[in-house]
Order: sequence, then structure tokens, then C-alpha cells
Amino acid sequence: MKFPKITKLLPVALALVMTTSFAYAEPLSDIANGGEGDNGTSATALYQLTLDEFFDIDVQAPGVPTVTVDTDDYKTISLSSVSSVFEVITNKNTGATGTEGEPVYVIATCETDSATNTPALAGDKEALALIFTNVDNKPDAASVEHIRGGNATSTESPNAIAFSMTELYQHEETSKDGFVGDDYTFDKAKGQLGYSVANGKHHFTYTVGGPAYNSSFSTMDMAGTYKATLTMQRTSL
Amino acid sequence: MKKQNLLTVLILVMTIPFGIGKAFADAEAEQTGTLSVPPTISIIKESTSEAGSINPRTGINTGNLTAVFGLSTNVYDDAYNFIICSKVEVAGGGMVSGYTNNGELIFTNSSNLPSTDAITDIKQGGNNNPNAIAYGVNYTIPETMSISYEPSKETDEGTGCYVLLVNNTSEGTIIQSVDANPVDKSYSYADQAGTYKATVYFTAVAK
Repeated sequence: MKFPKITKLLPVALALVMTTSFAYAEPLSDIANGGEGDNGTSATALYQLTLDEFFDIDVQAPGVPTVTVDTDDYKTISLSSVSSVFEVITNKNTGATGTEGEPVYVIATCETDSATNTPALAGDKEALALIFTNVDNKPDAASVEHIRGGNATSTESPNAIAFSMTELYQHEETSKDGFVGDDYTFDKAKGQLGYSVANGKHHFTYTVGGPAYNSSFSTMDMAGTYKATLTMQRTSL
Repeated sequence: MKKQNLLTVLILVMTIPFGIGKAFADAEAEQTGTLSVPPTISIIKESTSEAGSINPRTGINTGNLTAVFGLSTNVYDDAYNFIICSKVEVAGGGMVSGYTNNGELIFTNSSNLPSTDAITDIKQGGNNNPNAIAYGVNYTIPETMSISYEPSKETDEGTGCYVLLVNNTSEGTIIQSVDANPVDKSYSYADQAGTYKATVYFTAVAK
């Protein structure tokens, strides 16, 4: 018995079945993704945090000084040292070259009978003085001007007394050395000290004390409360 | 004739269902089919929260920064390194590895790029690193996987990355989240205003 047809058919039958059984499953293809740098075998996340600019000024108020007057002749007065501290915190971009900075000003004022914000700095950049005026018996502007002008006699500045003032600058947490301290500007007419600060934390300490400055005290200075004001601000007068 | 035809038909019917394997009757034939399945890895970014802001007084970020990655693979730890790397830009235009020695994520100020010294400092946990801020990272991964930080592992940008062991797990979701609080001493007022950036990438590298 011959089975030529079967023989020929068998391989065909086998081939058909084999193909069906061994069909390949499609391999996982690289899946394209959105996003930066994503290509199916790598995915990327780009985090971004915004740090806004800020500039903050805070103050540590001075304590109450002790005033000592020589009651024998009432010609000398002495003030115990008292300090005001301003703290500046800023992260403002001060430029790539390191020479730029953010301006900040300290303005000294006192009250007279004609104005509440009379400039109150005397002396010069190396030897500053702060003028206090009697709030209960306000002097006239000329009394303060005599001290500021540097030629006051003890009787020409009633109800206005000046004391020496020192300035101390300190900084921390800055990306650049703060360019302040000795480089500040002094405008006597405005009663203003000008600084330029880099980002970081800065402290400005003003200490007043000692004897009266330049013959500014006498019996012409009536009893009462004497006041001077220091203001730190970002704008110049 | 009829008997022959019937026999022929019977043989045909019997043969077809049995399909593969040996042919009956006088001859035998055997063939072996083989398959070659290529290694296949798919890593996708499923979702992210990539933007936020920094409180200038505290350095705390409010972005709830998160990256969710999906992984599918038919190759495992013996053949591939599954790594989560980071890169940041520094002054001079280069990119460096963006993790500290403890695996915290470094952000650098794109408006005022930090120096390489600042990066070295922040990597070591120092306090002199202007315009670079570091935040801790946390991971949520399938229970069958594990992840650890390897500070000495080489990457395209330097050294230091997280190595994920899939442990024969073929798919899963890997979530990276960034802490809100800055790493101690990494944030100060020396960090100038600007946009702080960090790039994280999840990839697989053949061993």
C-alpha cells in the first residue's frame, strides 16, 4: 500500500501546525514618553524651586542709659553707653562682579519747635556725634544747627545735647564679603549714613555715651527727657 | 479503492490534530523551534510635581516635589543596574553629580551658579555653600524591591546615585519625594534669590 499523498501531505501538515504553535509574541517595545530626556529606558524629572528676593530690617531697641550730671557746677554730664542694633537680612542678587550691593541708610533726627525730623548728626565720619533734644522744651532749629556746625558754645544750644557715637558693622552668612563698614558715606546736612550691603545677614551697632560732645551741655539745658531717633531705611533722603 | 481512500482520509485526520512531533508510518521527522526574547526595559515618568517655592526666612520648600516612575522589565539585577541619578549645574557651565554624601538632593541657583567649592562643601555637610541648597529624599517602592544610596557608584556626572534592586520583580512603581526642610547648614542668607534646580533621572545600565 502506498501512501504517496500522505507522505507529501504530512510535512505540509506539520509545517502548518508548527507555525501556529511557535508564533512569536511581540516583544515589549520601547515606549516613548514625554518629558525631558525620556526615551523608554530612562525618565527624567526636573525640579525647580523659586527663592524670591527679600530685604528685611529689624531693630533691637537700646536700653535706658544712666545720666550723670555734675551738680557742683552743672557743666558736665556723662551718659552711660547705650547701643541700638539694626539687623539687615537680604538675599537680593548683588551681581556677578561683587561690586554691586543693596543700598541702606541710617538717618538721625531730633525734634525742634519747628520740625520733627531735624537732622541730628554732628562731627565727621571718623568721629560721629548724635544730638538729643528736649521733648518737653523743644529747642529752635538754630540750637541744633550750632551743634551740627561744630562751633556751638555751651549757651548757644539750649535744650540740645550731643554725645559721641560709634558705629560698628558686622556681617555673616554672605556669599560675598559685605562691602560696608568703613566704606559708608556720611551726609551731615541730611543726618544720614549710607551703606551698600551684599546678600546675607548684617548687624549695625550704634553706641552713644560718655561726656557731652563739644561743649553742647550747660545750665541752658532744662531738665526733661531728651530724645534722638535713628531710622534705617532703603531709600535716601 | 474505497478501503484505500478511507485509510487515506483517516491518516490525514489523525495527523493534523497531532500536529507537531513525529510523523507516523515509515518516516520520522522532528524539528525544534527556538525563541530568542530580547531584554526589554521600559521606564516612564507617570506623573510629577516638579515646581515650588522656598520660604526665604527658613529655606523650607512648599513644592511637595514628587516624581512617579513606572518600571517594566524582563531583565534583572544580575544583568542591569537600575539607578536613580541626579545632576546639577555649577559655575563654569559643567554638570556634576547632584547628591550629597548622604544621598540628599542638591539644588543649585541657575541665576547665580555655585562654585565647585560650594558643591564640595554641601556634599560634606558644611556651612559654606552659597547658592546651593540640599533637601532629603524618600522612596516608595514595591515590597519586593529594595533601594539604597551608593556614594561611590560612578555616574555620567561623577559619583553617587541610588541603586534599585528589582529582585526578579518585572514591574512596579517607584516614587521619589523631596523633603520640605532643607538639610542643616545647607540653607542660609548667602543663598541668593533665584530659581534653584535639580535634575533627577532613572535609568538602566547593562552590567
